[in-house]
Amino acid sequence: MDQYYYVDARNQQAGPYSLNDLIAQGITSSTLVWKQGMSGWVPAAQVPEVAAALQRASVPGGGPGVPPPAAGKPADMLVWAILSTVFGCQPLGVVAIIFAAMSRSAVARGEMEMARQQFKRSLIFTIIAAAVGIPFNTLLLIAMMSS
Amino acid sequence: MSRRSVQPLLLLVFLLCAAAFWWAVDPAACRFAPQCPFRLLTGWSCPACGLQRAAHALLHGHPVAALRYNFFFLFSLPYATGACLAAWLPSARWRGRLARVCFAPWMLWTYVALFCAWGVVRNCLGI
Repeated sequence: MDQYYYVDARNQQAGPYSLNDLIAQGITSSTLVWKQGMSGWVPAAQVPEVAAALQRASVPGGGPGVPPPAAGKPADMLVWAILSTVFGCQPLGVVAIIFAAMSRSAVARGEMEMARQQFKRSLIFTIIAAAVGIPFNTLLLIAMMSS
Repeated sequence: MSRRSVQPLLLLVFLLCAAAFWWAVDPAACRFAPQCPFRLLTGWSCPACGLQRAAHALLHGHPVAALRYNFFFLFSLPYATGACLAAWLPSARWRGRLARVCFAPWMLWTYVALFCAWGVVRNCLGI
C-alpha cells in the first residue's frame, strides 16, 4: 500500500497516510500530494488513483466499486447530440460532441474536476441544440405549409 | 419507467413517424417537406443534407440511389446505431464494451473531423 503526503491549508507537509486516510483528511482535487516515486508535488487531480478515490468520495452513497459517472450517465445525452448531427443540420450538436470528447479525455487523465466542467458544457450545448433546432424546424414547416 | 427505457422509446416513435412521412412524401417534389436551415441561409449543403431524399429512396427500395444523396451515411448511420446501443442496451456488459469504442475520445474526435471534412468536400465537389 502506497503512503501519501499532502500540503495542508497552512502549507505544512502532512502524512504519511494510506489512500483512504488521505481522502478522509478532506483534501480537494487541487491539494498538492506526493508519494514515493513521484518527482514532485502535484495536484491530487493529476494522480489517477487519488482522483478516482476523490471522485468516489464525492458521490453520495458511493464507495469502492462504484463506476465513475463517465461510464453511464453522460452517455444518453451524448447519444442525442450524435443523433442531432446525423438527422439534421446541428452545428451546436457538433460543439456538444467536442466538449464530450474533451470531458472523456479529462477522465482518462484523471482530471475529474475538468471532466465535470466539460461534461456540463456538453450538456448545455445538447440542450440548446434541441431547444433551438426543434422549434426552428417546426416554425419552418408551418411557414412552408402556409405560404 | 427509467430514462434508459423512455429515451429509446421516444426515438423509436420519432423514427416510425418520420419513416411514415418520408415513405408517403417525396421531399424533392413536395414543398411541405422540412428544409435545412443551414442550406436556406447559406446556400451550401450541410453534412446531413440529403437525409430526407435518401430516406424516401430507401423506403421505396432504392438503396444505391439513397446512398448517392449523402455518402456520409455509410459511416454516420452505423456509428449512430452503435452509440444508441452503447447507451441503451439492457445488458450492462455489452453496453460497457460498446461504450468503450463508441464514446472513446478518439472516436468522438474522428466523428467530428469526418463530419466537418465531408461538409467541405461535398460542397467543393457539388455532391
